[in-house]
Amino acid sequence: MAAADSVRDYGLAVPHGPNLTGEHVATADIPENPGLMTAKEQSVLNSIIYPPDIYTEDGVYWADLPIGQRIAFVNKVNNAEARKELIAIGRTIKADPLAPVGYYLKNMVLPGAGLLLEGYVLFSIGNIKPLFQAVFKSCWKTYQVCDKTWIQAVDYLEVSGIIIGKSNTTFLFSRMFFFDHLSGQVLVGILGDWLGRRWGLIQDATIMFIGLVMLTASWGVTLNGWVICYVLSLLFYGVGVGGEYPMTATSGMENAVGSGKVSTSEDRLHRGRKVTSAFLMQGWGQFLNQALLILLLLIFHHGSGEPPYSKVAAQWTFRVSFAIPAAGTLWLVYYRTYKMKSASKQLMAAKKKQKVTGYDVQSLKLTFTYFGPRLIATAGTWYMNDVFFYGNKLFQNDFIAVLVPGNTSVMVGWLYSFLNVGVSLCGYYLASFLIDHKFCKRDGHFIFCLGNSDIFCRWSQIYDGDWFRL
Amino acid sequence: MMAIGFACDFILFTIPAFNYKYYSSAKGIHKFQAMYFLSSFFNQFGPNSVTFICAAEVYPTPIRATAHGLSAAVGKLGALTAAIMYNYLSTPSIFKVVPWFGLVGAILTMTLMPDTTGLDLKEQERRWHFIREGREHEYHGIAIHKQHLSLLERFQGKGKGYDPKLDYEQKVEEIRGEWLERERAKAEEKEGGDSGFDWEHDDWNEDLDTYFTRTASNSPELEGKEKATPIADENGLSEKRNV
Repeated sequence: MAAADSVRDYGLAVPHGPNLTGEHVATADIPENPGLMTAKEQSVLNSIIYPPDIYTEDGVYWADLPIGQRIAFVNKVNNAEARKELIAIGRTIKADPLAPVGYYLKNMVLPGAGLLLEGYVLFSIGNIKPLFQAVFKSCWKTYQVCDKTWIQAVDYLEVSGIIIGKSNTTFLFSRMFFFDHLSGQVLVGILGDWLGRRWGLIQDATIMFIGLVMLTASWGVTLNGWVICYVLSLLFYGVGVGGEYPMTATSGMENAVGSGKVSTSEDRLHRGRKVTSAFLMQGWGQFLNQALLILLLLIFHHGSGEPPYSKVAAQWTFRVSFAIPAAGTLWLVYYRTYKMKSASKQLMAAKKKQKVTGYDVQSLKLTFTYFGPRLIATAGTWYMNDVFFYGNKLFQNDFIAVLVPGNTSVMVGWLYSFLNVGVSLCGYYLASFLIDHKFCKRDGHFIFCLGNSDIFCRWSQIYDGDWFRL
Repeated sequence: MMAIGFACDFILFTIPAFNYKYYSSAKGIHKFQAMYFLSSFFNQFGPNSVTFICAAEVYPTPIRATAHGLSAAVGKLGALTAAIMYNYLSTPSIFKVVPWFGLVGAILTMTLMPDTTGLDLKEQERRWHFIREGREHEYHGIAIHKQHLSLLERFQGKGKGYDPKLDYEQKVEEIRGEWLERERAKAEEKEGGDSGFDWEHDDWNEDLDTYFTRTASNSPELEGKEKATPIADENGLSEKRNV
């Protein structure tokens, strides 16, 4: 503030030495035409309007540069940023060797905790199926005592639940925002949305917790009754899972970023990493699930992974494997209720500044008008992706049957699946590191990326060399 | 990453599809296995991670959660498709059907998906602000740079308004707006009122005060008085805007 106050404000100017820096306000050089900027003012304005990570010193946007300079510029910015981060990490390690671990837990693991638990359970369904098929053969495999449709419904209803959950969350947001718009008051808007966002988080965790308790305790007088109970629990659980996606993506993105700030280089340079590093917790969830299932079966099956498996061992393995995430989800309910009281505080501050009181019908309409093709793109690509993603998973057991013909041990499949999760985790992490690279994300200049994928070609040669034969 | 990922999934599923016998034999099985793992890898590396973030970052804040939820729900329909399809198709035919989903995904990515890497959310919100007020054509910033538009949007001419020079001038005026708000808050607090201004997150560079003070109004005697007369500043601004 001091610099803004001219010394003239305080009466007669006391004589002082020469203005060596040229920054002394009282004697600052004011250009003859007051509409023009001084060099100093110009440079400050430029530093705000032309952030150095996306503009050259002359104020040219990086994407406007000719291709050669563009590559050089992007590499320069990336290298400088990487160096800055490494130095910062080095410094914290020096001060406290475990500090980066804490940082990672707080900034990446915690935002993705919901997805971690969700990934665990979701993939548990596919992973545990071969065990059920081996133990309850007449029910899960030959459909003698159980209805085939219900067994197939395990796959369908899980997904249906997720869709219901997603629609529910979407509806929840619309309702809250709509209320907010109707009231038309910023304050009520802040409260309404604040409660809405928070409520959404708690609601998801609670539904998932109840779903898990239901899964852990699922019982039936007959095997078929048990399968039906299991399927319905899954449907319920899926509803909670559906809400996790938008919550993780949007809150991860917005909480991390101070949209209200003048410069948002953190957002530009690391938004993708921030969000995907929470998202990849889903991969860790799968990883943990597979590891735990293997351990549990070994524990309850007297240290052996070979068939035949007893019904008792299967029961314990499956119930304990669901009870563990149930405890985790209960903690999540606690955490969201008591530790995340202002889940979207920063977002609201940004919104207030933009004078956007929330989500009105007009805004939604505008989105369809202006961003209709984008909706087709994001929804369509996601659809295509999930055919692969879930398909890959559901179908894994069949696939392994091709790989290892005549196999009866559940363990073999699980070990393959374990390896598969390990490989996808590499993919998750690599994506997380490269996603903010300006030449990488979508298409176009992917030569850079192909350079990286050269590693994987070599990798496949290793596969050919039977390095990974199990 | 996304297009490559889709393309790789396509290739990695197509190869075994047309030579299934070889790859499911003892001789080819390890190549098959490698391809399966690679397809998992590329699925994560590409589309699975990218769809998750793109579905959120290409939309303006007020509807971001809805758009993401909607996209994800459609995505789960894909999972449902897979679940149903896999129950009805034999293993070799799955390999013949599934890759095409990857191809369609790659095409959708290349034609309709904008690349907003390195574009901050704030700039996108700035554009949205113009759209909301029905002044889309007055926006000249980098959010409509061809780099950040999809092929279709480029084709539709949405990037025509891009003009760095006009954008610079506009941004100076926007910063002036911030300055005015700040001055007004200061004046209000001087009189004992609570302006509700977030001083804690204020990172205003005071070197700019001189410029905005000088150019707030054309009368030079305003200097040093502007704190007491915020209204004059507002008039100054509207004058400026009308020019």
